[in-house]
Amino acid sequence: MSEKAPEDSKPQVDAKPEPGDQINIKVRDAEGNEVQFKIKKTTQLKKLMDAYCLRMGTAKGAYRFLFDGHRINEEDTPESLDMQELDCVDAMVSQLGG
Amino acid sequence: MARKRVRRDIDCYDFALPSSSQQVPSQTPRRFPKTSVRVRLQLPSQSAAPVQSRFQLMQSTLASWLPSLPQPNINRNQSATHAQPTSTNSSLTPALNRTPAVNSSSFTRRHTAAFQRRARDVGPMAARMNGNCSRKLSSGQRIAMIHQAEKKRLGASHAARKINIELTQQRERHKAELQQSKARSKMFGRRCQTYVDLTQECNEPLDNYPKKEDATELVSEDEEDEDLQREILQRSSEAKRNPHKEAIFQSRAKPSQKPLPSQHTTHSTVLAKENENDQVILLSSDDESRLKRKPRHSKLVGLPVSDPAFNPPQSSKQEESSQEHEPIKRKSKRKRSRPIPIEDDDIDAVLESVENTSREIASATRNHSEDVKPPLSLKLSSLPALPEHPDDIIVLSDNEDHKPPVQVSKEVPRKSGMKRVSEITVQSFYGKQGRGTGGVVGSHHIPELKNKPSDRVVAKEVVELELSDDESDLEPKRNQTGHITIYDSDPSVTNIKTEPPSDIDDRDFDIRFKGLNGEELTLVASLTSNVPKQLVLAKVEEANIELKGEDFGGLRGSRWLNDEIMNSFVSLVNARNRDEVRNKMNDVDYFDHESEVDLNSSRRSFFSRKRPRTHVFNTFFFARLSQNQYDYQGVRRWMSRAGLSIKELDLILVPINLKNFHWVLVGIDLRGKEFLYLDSTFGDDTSDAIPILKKWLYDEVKDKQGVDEADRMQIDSWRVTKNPGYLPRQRDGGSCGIFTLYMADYLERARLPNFDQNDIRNLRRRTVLFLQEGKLPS
Repeated sequence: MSEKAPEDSKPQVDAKPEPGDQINIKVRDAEGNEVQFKIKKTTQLKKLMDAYCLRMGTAKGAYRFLFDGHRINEEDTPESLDMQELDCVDAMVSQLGG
Repeated sequence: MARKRVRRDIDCYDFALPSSSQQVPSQTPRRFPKTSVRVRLQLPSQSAAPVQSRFQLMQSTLASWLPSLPQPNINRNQSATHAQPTSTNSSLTPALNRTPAVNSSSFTRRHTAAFQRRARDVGPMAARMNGNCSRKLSSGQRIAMIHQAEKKRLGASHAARKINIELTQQRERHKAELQQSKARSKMFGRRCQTYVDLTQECNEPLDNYPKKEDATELVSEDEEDEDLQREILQRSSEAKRNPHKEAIFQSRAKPSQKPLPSQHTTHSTVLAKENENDQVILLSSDDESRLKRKPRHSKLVGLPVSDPAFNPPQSSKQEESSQEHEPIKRKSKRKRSRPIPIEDDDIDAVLESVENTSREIASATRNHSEDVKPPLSLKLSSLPALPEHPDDIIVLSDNEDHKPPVQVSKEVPRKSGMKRVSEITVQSFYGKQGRGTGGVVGSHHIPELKNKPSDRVVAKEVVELELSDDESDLEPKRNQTGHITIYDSDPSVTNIKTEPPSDIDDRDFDIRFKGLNGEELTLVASLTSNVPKQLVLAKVEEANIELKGEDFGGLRGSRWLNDEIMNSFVSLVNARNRDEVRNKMNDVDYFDHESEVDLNSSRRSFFSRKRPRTHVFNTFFFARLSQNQYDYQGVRRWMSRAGLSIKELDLILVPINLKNFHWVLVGIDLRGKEFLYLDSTFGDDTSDAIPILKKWLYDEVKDKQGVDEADRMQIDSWRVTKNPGYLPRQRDGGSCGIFTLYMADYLERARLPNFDQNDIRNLRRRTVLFLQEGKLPS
């Protein structure tokens, strides 16, 4: 599952931006599987999160997306979070305990 | 075969307006009170005409009789839903949901206009709701699905029996009427009228209400809800006396939906403000409508209570509409006197009923035409059918040997749709023994509470309080309240409180242990009880987390906490430490780790030191670090991203989720060179958390400060303390999250934990308030 489509699974179809505008971001799930997305630095990460959920076949909001331990807002962009090329976003599943 | 069955089925149609009764037809009158106008027609079964044309005949006839009604959606009332041949079914279905072209366009026009007028009146909220609902309404498929699901849930046999009863009743009635009237069209007209009347009733008067049995049917299974409601009742009866009596009663009856307009508006507006969600709009507009109705309602309260058919919201409407409703109403009430136990432990039901409610409102608004007057009041009349008058409660309670409906409660119902909430909560005043969570009884700092009366007795006392309400004989009763109340809500305590606390550790001055007042209780109830799962209730900025209904729901009773609650709370602890310690104190205030430890190592306990500069990781830290295998790279930047380094910290706390069923806390006391493993159930470190965190600490220091420093710290030799003596022990089955959070809270403040299982209930409620407020007390 992890390595099925490691490259550019969600390329941007909008206007061709310069390469500098885009970065590759990996989304890593609990098992260590990684999916890589290419996204514009100014695109809201909502898009990425939704795409990931879609890809995983889960409902939106099934994952908690963290970047370096910080919860990612839907409005955040790679730029606002200071993401670098090939940075990894963690897709964590909910936890429960009693 | 198939044709015959269809014919039989088709003898009886439900012409139902789009509303709850459409989705959940006749089987569940209790759960979804009928609010819509439902017309049932019966054609004599000469049935030479093909199915389709008979159907259309009926439809168009109906349309001509009821020009003011919206386009009818039609449910067939069938005892054999499942066995329906799909072919005929599918051929009918489109027709069912879309009226034939003959009338539909005029219908649409007319009732769009009516709706627009109505929308102007009701306001933008209702309009939006309506827009939302009509979209959903258009899907006949969905309705059918709900229909089916409901059926399945109720259990086939039960449903079938219910249907049979109803069918026979209906048929007999129809037959009688058929014989009476010769002229068919006339007959139809009259019958139509009849059923309009019949179904417009939706509340049952208390007198017809089989109290005992029903109470148990409706009582919520959650002890916490019980307590909450009881306390709300109690507090509100203390605080607010007679002026708003019946309003109070309503607010008690349905705290999550209809807060008291005057005193309790706060949280309803909170809800409304914080979300632009549909459901919220619904809720608040429900309030709104109720408020609008208020004057008329309160006027009507003066009517004789003894009238069994009395029902304020409804009669307010009916007075205006017509008088002939009365006898028929009673008849059908009798019919519906048997409640159905509903087994439903899913908030989905709430969602569903929210939709239903919005549908009702929508249909009501749409339903509106100048002469007929069903708009929002339709919705209103679907509200709690239970005691509208406090007197009714008194009747129950002053009977000495009246047993509150406790005994039967085993078999019974769980929370369900929103509409039922009211009933549940009202009923809960009668008292009920909750399940689970033994040992929560009593309180160690109020001695007389050791003999805490059983739930039943408490309930009785509360009811007596109600009595005193009427007699305006308050003083002696207040003392009783002191007995009932568990925590420091005793008035005398409150009086003392004006003095500044001499000892912070004293629980009396700690807001964590302070009992909630009525307003707070209502707020807590509105946030935790029967809130739609996905409804966003609060946003914790520190953690970037939106807390939804399902998250807050975990704070009820002894339910389990999820990561959202945990991480929200953790972020508040971090924020407090940042504001009160890390940013406030100079580094000079703190010794170097090494020197302090060297000086005092074993003699100084953790709690006698200065307040530690603390960082609490979120619950995903350990998961990320260790989920698959040890992976330091996965969390390498977590500390630096948070702007922290090991050097500048004294305490690191790591809440850990064990296999998705338990929360524990691991503390790394950097000054005392000690690892703390805090498991409220005093379990062992089965997940190797300590070794993993030791390794992480080494790697972290190595990564940030170099391998020399890491080696010098000799992390391997640090002490490991598992479940130290001061750790409070958990005695219920679901509060480990609370224990974990408050251990973090106490360690961050360098305070010895002074709470135990008895405080958990209050701590849970306080947690709701803390999270809602987005701030922890210092």
